[in-house]
Amino acid sequence: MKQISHLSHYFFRKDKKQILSFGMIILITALILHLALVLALRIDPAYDRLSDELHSADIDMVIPQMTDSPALSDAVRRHPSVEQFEQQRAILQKAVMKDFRGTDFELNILFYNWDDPRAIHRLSCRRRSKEAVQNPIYLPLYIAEFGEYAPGETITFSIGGKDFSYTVAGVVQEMQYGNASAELMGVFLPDAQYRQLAQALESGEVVNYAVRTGEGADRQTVLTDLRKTAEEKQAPVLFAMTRESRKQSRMMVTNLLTVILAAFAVIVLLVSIFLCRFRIKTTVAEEMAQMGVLKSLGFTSGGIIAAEVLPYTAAALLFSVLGVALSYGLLPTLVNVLALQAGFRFDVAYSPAALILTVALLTVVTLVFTWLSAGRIRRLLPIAAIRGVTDGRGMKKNRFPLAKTPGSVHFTLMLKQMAVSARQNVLLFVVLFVMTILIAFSGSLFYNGIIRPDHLMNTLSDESPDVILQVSSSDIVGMKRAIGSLDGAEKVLSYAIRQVQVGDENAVAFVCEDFSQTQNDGCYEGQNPVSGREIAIGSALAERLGCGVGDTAVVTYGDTSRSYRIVGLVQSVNNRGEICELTDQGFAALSGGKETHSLYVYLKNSADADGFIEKAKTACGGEIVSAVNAAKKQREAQSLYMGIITVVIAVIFAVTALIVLLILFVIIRSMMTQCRQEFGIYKAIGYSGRQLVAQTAGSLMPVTVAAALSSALLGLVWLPAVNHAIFGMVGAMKNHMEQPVGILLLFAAAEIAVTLLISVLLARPIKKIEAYSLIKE
Amino acid sequence: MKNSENKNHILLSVRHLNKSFRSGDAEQTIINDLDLDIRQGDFTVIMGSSGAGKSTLLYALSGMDKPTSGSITFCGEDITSYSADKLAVFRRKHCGFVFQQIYLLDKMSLMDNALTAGLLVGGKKKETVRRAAALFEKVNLPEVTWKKFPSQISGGEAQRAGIVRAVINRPEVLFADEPTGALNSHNSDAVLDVFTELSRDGQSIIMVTHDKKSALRGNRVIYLRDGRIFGECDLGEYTPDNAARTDKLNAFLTEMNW
Ligand SMILES: Nc1ncnc2c1ncn2[C@@H]1O[C@H](COP(=O)(O)OP(=O)(O)O)[C@@H](O)[C@H]1O
Ligand SMILES: [Mg+2]
Repeated sequence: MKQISHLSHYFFRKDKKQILSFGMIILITALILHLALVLALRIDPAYDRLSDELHSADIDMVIPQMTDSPALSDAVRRHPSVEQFEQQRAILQKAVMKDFRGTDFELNILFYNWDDPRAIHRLSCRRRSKEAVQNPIYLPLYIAEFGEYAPGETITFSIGGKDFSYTVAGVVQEMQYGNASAELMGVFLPDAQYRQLAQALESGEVVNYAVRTGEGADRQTVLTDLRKTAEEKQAPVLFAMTRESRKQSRMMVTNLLTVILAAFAVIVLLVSIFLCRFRIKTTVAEEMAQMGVLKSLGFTSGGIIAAEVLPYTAAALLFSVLGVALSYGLLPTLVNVLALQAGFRFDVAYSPAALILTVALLTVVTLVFTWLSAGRIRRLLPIAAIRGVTDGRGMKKNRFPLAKTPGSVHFTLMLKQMAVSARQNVLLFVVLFVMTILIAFSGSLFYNGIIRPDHLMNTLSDESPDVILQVSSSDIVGMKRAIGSLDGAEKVLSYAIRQVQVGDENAVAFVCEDFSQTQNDGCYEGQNPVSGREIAIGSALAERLGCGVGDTAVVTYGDTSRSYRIVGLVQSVNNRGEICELTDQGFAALSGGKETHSLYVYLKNSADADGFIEKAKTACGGEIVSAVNAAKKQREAQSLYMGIITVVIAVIFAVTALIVLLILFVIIRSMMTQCRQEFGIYKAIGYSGRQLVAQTAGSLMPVTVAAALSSALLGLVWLPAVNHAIFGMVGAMKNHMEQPVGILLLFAAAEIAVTLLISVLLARPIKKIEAYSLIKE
Repeated sequence: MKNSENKNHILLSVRHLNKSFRSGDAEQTIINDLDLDIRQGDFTVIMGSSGAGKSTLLYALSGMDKPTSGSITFCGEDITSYSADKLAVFRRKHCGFVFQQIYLLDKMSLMDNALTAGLLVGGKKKETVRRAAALFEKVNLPEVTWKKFPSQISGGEAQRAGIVRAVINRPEVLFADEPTGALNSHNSDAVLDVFTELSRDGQSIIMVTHDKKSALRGNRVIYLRDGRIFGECDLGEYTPDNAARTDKLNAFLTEMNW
């Protein structure tokens, strides 16, 4: 044992710097893996725990207060799966929150009475204003933190043209609604303010049936039952959701991030496996004679292997613990960002499971792979090792003979050097190949999010013109013509968004005179409706109603129902696929044709939307009720995405560069130990330091180029699949992402350039090897 | 050979050469204010006891190592001020090296070892290959060996290949540091014969040795002690089995207290 630790110490001292870079890669792996594990293991249970703590409902269903009746509540109570329920009164309004993170934000808001007792969906007040405030309001975490309203500050809701301002008295953690991808949000007013608002608005009073089901009940089925019951009792369901759908929308980003981090961790882990394999094999080759001597002295193979494996395993253990520690430094920030958009606070707690899993996985993987790689020591006969009679790898054939290979001698020597370094080529290829997977992914993001941001925006958002005009005139055709003839207008479409029911399901209806003129075609199967009898329905509806193209769907709006032929399936990430498309005539048959639609205006120069709005107001004055600069909103959303994408690309490039740096450090170090004498001989012959640096860095390039290019081109195959999977997770059946070869090659070229630069820098110490050192040895 | 008609031309001139090594705090002077001229076409042999600084001198002369002070003028150029890369370029054109440990590049064939040096200075590839082949023939390495790797041949063959690599660029001086030190007597003779033949062709050679048999091949023997030239002996042209030369060398070495 003592001898082994001695020997181990020797191997460690000899390879100190290389073990250190191996450790760095393990550290990165541990960091990423641990982040992924903590997210996977802690946030989800924390979400459920908080839901239970606050006694959250399994099903929420909002109906107009006027239509609520004892008959309905009795029916709900009698449902076998309903364990407990509560009727919570509220005022439902479509409201614009002013200065929400610097812009206006429109959302369906439920104003609840803070003083109503609550058994279900309890609220836990997280932060309170220090002093008593005038006109208090309690905001959910999401609105307060993402919208940036601190306790003591003012929040203004604009409802139907009237402004209502309140002072934030406290911030509550609630598990009823959540984030922006739910189309509903609840805020809480004390009794006095609640009454005032109800009086001022005289409409919108609703009741939320908050229902808790028994264990094992299928919530979606129960919801369908309750929906039917409500309709039988003449109570239209305005909004409904289950615990699952709520959780899905709140946890979407977290889940996405967890998957991406896990994939990232696997890639880096692969790199570290190949790295330790490479190092062990190289050490065995370098220390061949030593090992022979050791064996002849009576060391067993097992002893030598143990001594070799020990430093790497110890490094894996140490650095994975360090990586985990470091990840605790990053976790609060990460969790804050996630909490911000998920609308619930998650306390970063120490997770023994994640710690043990990370450290154990990395240590065991290192142990296994170093052990397997060191196996060659067993087959080594002492005498053969001492004599240096190796298996003659790379010596069998004189590759790239100088006399016959065309091109300069330097180029040929570079090829020769490459040809004799099989092990290092394998490592380099694997690393470059897997890192290029990330690079190709970032290339795709770059193209679709920054060069052609419309690709990403069209995938994630609905139809977005430059200007949306709300007009009061009943002569919509005349208005359309007037607006369309204004300078700068390219086209004008009449467009409306309405809340309807398709079958039993609530849905948002997009109503347009001509879908072929729209800019963002969300149709992923079949086609958009053309005639008044046709409809296209959203992916979620199609799934829940169990129908597809060719079937019929019954749409209810107000008191009128009508059936339509389904001609297409459309997607909407914003509305989670709960949408439908109807033509103007098709919708007129439901609404009686009296409603005025908005005008969607598309401009020749979208940057000048504000100027256009001024023009339109001057021209049509009183007929314009409201004008929204949608282009600006779109640009803001776009710049948010662009910011995120830029960060992601920067992180990917930085991590890739770091890993390539660490790997090349190990490769070039190994080369310099193995080829020290060779470099001395070259120098004696008259090769300059610069030539040798170029030759060494150059010998890495063919493999680098091959790996990067092949991996990047392979991106053409897998990127569409990955994009499909990722966007499918958020409900986009069809995405507009493209993978131009040029961008992939460009990104691969950038990676190759970085690799070349790093290799040249790392190979520079070759200059210091003196020809004279030959004699000293 | 270049300038072979001008036998008394001074090829290499050394003035006030000093070389010292620092080991820890102590400074050890190995070459101490040494003056030396090497004439065109001479086969100069440097002798001295082990550790006298023979190798140190040889590698300073050839621009492989930088002296502490003093000047070395080689082919009319003062090479003492050259940078490492400039010295490399200088070496490839003007110097050839043969080492005791041979130092062939073991990952390539003998032919490629020769061409690695030969192709470095430019010129037509075909001509260089032809010259390499001719040299291999000259040192008695038949074509079947050219494709072999250094690990597949004997030490004597390897050293002869080493000589081919050293002279392929027609260097002004061929430097050899105990070229037969690692060889058995049979192989040594074969290698020394190559040196003699090269010398007869006019090649200037500077060879370090501590072996009398090798020293006999030279026409001028220099004895190094205390970092200076302690004695010098002119043996005249080599002829095999020349008892007079052998006696002369023996007497000189006795005088040098060898
Ligand atoms: N790079 C060096 N650093 C320190 N001492 C050196 C170095 N090279 C040679 N020496 C010392 O210089 C002396 C002469 O060495 P060398 O020229 O190799 O002798 P030799 O005459 O046997 O060839 C020796 O004592 C050796 O230890
Ligand atoms: Mg010596």
